Amino acid sequence: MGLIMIAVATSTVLLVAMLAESGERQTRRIQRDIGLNVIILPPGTDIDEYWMTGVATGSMQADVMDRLVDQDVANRLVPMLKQSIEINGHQAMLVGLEDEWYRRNRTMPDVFTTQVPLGSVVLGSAIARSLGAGQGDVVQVLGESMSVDRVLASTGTREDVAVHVTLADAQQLLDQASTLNEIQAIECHCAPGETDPLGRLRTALDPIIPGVTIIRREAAANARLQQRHQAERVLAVTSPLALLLCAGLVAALATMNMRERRVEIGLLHAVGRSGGFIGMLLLGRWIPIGLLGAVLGWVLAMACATFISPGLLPNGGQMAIPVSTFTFVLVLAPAGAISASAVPVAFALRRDPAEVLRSI
Amino acid sequence: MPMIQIQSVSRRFQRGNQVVDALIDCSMEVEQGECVVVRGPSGSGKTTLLMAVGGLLRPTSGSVIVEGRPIWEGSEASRAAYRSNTVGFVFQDPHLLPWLNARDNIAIAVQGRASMEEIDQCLEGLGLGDRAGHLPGELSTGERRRVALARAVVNKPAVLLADEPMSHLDQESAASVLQILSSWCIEGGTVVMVNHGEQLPPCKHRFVDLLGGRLHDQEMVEGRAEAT
Repeated sequence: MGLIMIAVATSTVLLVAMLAESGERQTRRIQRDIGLNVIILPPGTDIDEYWMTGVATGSMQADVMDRLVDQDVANRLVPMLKQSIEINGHQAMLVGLEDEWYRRNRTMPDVFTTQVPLGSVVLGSAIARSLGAGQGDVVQVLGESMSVDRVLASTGTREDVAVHVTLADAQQLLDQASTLNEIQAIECHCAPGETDPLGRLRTALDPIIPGVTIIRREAAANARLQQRHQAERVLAVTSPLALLLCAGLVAALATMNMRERRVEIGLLHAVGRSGGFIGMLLLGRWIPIGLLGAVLGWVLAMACATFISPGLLPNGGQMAIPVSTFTFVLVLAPAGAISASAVPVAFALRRDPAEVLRSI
Repeated sequence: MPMIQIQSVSRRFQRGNQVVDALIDCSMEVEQGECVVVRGPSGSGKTTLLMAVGGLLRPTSGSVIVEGRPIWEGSEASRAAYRSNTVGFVFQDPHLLPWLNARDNIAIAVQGRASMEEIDQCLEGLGLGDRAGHLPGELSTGERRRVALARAVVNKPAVLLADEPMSHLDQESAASVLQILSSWCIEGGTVVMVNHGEQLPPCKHRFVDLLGGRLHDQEMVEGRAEAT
């Protein structure tokens, strides 16, 4: 019975962990698809022209990134140099971009940027079609021969006419060393009920780049916000429920132990076994039971996950148990079982053996 | 110096609003090698007295001194050592663990001094040589009682406390148990037993009567038969 209880508790913890993990993964995927939602433009940028052409007229020194990386309102900063160009008579947007700058120079895998090898180009679908170019072909960009690394799928945005190169290549092609004209980022601190998110961004960024122009892509930012809060709400409901269930199971286990082990504890105590010996003997038994329960719980959780995944994650998402969580549960299950037993053992050991035996 | 000194021992139980004085200011002494039979009606405090002497139930007041040591004044560890080394207890209910066979039920009381061979010898001596591997559920009431007795004597304690060791036993089994207790006494062990049955130990013994938690008449009776 104890084994079943441990298995149920373990599977509950694992299911919630899987739910959290897959929800987080799903959220990340959706947010990646939503894209970066903050655009930082050089001071004095003509916004109307920017919206018309997609290119900011002013420029910023690249070393502004060193100062921007330490603020807390925008993260995953992508420095860019963009310029309208013509390739073989076709209008295109040259986009030079660098890897994401993560806050406080932490290293994280890039999520939002298009990875481009140095000396190569990544073409948007429309311009690739216009040029008749595909992967491995060579195209002339501002007089330089560059090989096509790959062609992006159609997005239905200006990205379809983009010619992506590294920031260094763009600066060289445009002869604008150490220059940027746009930084894209993801908004941080998505507190629910925020009334003036743009004002908050401006307050934080203006001291770093005086007169900076900031665009908050409202739809993308709000969608990201809602997705994040929805994921958090699911966890806010399931986590306490799971904890409550586990606590209930541990309490039931403790009560069961109390009843089952009373005669053993009372007797061992009565024949002169020390409290430490009795504790070790009884609690030690729960280590293999806890480990076995953890493994059974894992099997149960996997079975449940397979069953409920299609309903919870309709976009083909899979619920998986992170290795760290399983390791944690392997430790937690015996520890929980021991804790559940420790209470009745300690309680019984505090009483005179006669009282324990008399109450049987 | 007496083996056991019980000095003004009282024990009060409280259940809800109800207060029961199981023992009231009880004092007595038991010499080494003496066999004391505690008598009295049900609820007179016999078991409580035995438990207090056995280090199993703390008196509300008073002192129990065994081999010169006040057992309730030390630590729980010293009391555990006392229960293990000095005293053997035969409970009214044998309290055998149902998942352990007779030999293992005795072994739980052994703390390094008695080997498995000695346990088997002990079982042999109690006529249970062929029942060592049997679970309690496979033993008769008398056999279970004798296994409990073997568990109490396996460490060769100086004091043997037996709480109605003949209850629910047929005449033959009861006589066998009494014979074992008498032999123990004759060999120098001290025995305090609760018994309100008809059968009495064949060795020289002393009666102590408990009535309403108070000790009364104490009467010395010569054994009717010499233990073998």
